Amino acid sequence: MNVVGILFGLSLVVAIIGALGSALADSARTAIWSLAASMLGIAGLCLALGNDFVAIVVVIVMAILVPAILLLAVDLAPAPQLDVKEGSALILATGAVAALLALAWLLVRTTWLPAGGARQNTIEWIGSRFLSDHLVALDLLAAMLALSAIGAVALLRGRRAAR
Amino acid sequence: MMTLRIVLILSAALIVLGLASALRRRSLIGYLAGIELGIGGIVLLASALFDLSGFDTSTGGVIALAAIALGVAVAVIGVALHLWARRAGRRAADLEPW
Repeated sequence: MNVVGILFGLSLVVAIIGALGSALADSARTAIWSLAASMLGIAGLCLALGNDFVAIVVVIVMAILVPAILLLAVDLAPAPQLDVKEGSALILATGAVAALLALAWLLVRTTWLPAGGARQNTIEWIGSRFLSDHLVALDLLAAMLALSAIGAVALLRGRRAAR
Repeated sequence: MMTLRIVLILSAALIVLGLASALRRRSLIGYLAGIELGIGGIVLLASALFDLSGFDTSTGGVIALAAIALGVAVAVIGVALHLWARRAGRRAADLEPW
């Protein structure tokens, strides 16, 4: 087995364990740590598949930045110790298994085109696609990020006297 | 083809686990962790699908980066809402600091 195969297998296991840990954890803090582990697994899978740039972005943003923000929020305003709804676990588990089976069946049964042509996953190529074919998407993403930042600042701007 | 199937099933599992995790939580932060997990599944799905099938690999990268940006925007707004709700609760109870 080569290095890529080992990376793929390890990342697969880490992603699954992290996702299960995030879904089954009782506290928000454990769920966030498990989320970070799962994202590292996803980044490893992207790396094994040859998407280096996406893997780097997933590590920096989804495995470090987002969990750090969530942990900071939990520290500033603690979530309940037992952060799960009670009474609906069986229905939720049944629905999740059914949804998983349906989605997996749909994805596996679909006939995908076989891979062909040049594999272009370099940063330069993705950047050029963003600036040519997907320019509108790039603008919309920038607008979405700006709006979310403005919204967050508007919600959390300075303390005001109670009325 | 086997690799594609494995990754497709894993992506489906991540998306479903993320949604189930979000539905199971009581707090907004726990809900956000579930949503981020689902977005991670979408990132993996886009990245793998366009890499292991078809002719246009870079579109997978574009979709993955768009999903990551969406995840960041959701996290920022969600955390702001969480802190705002906490602050409003403390203000209503006349507790400092808020």
